[in-house]
Amino acid sequence: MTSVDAPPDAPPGAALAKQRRINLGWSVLPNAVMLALIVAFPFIASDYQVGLMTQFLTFGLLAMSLDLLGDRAGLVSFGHGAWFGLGAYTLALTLERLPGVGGTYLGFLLAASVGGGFAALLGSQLFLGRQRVGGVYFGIVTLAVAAILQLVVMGWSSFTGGSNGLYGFATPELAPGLPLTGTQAPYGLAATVCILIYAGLKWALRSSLGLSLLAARQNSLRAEGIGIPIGRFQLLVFSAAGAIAGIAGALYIPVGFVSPDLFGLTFSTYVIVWMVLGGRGTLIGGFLGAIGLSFLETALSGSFVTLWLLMVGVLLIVVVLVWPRGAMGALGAVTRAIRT
Amino acid sequence: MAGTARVATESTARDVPALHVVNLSKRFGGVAAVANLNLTVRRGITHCIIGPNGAGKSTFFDLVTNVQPATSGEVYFFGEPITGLPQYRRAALGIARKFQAPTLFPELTVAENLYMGKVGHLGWTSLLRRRDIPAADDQVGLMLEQLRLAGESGSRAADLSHGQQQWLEIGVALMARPRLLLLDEPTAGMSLRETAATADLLGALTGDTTTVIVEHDLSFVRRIADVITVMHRGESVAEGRPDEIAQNALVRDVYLGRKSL
Repeated sequence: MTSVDAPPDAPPGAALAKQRRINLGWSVLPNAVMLALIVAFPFIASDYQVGLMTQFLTFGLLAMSLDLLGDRAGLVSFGHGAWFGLGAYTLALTLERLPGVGGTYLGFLLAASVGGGFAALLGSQLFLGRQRVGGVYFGIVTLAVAAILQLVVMGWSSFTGGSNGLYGFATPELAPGLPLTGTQAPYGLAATVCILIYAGLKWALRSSLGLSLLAARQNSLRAEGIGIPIGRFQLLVFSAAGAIAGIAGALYIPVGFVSPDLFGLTFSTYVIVWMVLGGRGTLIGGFLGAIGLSFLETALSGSFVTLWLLMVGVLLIVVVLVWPRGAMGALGAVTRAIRT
Repeated sequence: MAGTARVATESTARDVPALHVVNLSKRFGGVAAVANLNLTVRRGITHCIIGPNGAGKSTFFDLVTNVQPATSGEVYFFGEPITGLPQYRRAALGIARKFQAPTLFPELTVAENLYMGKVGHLGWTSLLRRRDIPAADDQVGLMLEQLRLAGESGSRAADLSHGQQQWLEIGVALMARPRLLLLDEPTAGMSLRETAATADLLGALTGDTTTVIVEHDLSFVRRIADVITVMHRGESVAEGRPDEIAQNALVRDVYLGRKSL
């Protein structure tokens, strides 16, 4: 009764194999295009643009970590910028005390640990009880946590520089004589780290763990019923997203200053907008959204100082209504249309 | 099915029951869905639970799997107390369940659903190391044949018919090779032919799996049950072999009044 529709001579799994080839082609193409663009960018763009791109890559990495959290743990953080801020402040504070190569590597390590550790601490309270905190409640908690962190950073001015933020800390150095100054070295580092983390995540999510996370998000009752400890898996994903956001924040440091705005609602909202515009559930969409919108902002916000945020808002609404899968979803639809 | 013979050998060889609940209760405010239930399921048998709607049958399954916490009472699985153990830990111990309404991963393929049933209880580190293609997994392929879903391997679970979804969910439960299989109305919404096929599927289970079934279809129950428990208002009011239950006057009163077994 089940195989009536399948042609009698089709080998089993033929349809699946075809589907897999298409998926493979579709997943390789944007990755290859993106990789080529990232490698070629410093050779075709001005120093100013390369400097901007370095920042936008860190934003993209942050948006990607938010996408990871949403797609594989079903959680949307409304305060994800705070983890970026934690990473940035951690590296800046480390460099203030321990300049040089050692401080740079220690600072990056600490930025990842503080981001991941803080998410783990918060997540253990939210996910491991009998009643897991999810959905909009998780969003509200993260919003509140970001607001509290911002108050702490503003208030504790002897340590964090208060509302002025931190500046004048030592320049990070990758090796003796290789400081992260100018545009090329910071860009190279940011691009390399982004590619490595992206590839690592892709690799990890292609495992049975990645499938389990997708499954758990689709039906938690069934997932627990076959032995998936959903709360622990959410904790794992939240910690990973926190650590990646922390690293993204540390990569932002060559900009030269950090401010409490990183903990603010505006920045965290931007992260959500980047993710949604780029395309949820794709990882790479976060980069597309962050880089695309940030360049657009650089070009337009000078002319439309007050209108700019309104334009972003309208764009967001249009995308959510017309292309709920964002730029990646629209690209996919276009490619499918061309193929057929 | 060779149920009676299986019961005889199992009970003499190993006396620890697969499932044993003592004074198990679940109250919602003033209402007791399950009230001081005492029930023992012997190893290797097919034990059916019947009773009118609201008798507490599905709630009983919820308490055994800890989808809901029990208000009071104890649950023993092969002699070990598991009261309070979270649902996913019970799954890892070997308790699998099919829910009353199809409960699947709707966006995953049929093969992926089955594969998750096989590996879901493994920890995250071993899941991270696994890179199998679910549709190419031998155990998945075998189960697809048994479920007559081989042609649907790559379909989304949500696109299956109701009966196919019921089967797929039984298959997901079986993939973990559970020691205790709990089936909540496995034939609900199925045609006569599908019901017969379900009975065949369950009849092919080995003695390593103990099966507890909540079911309304009494001809199906009579066909596969070794033992029947009748529940009424959260309590067990009668228990015995199918022929004993059919002749029980009390059972006729509370449940079978309109219908003979």
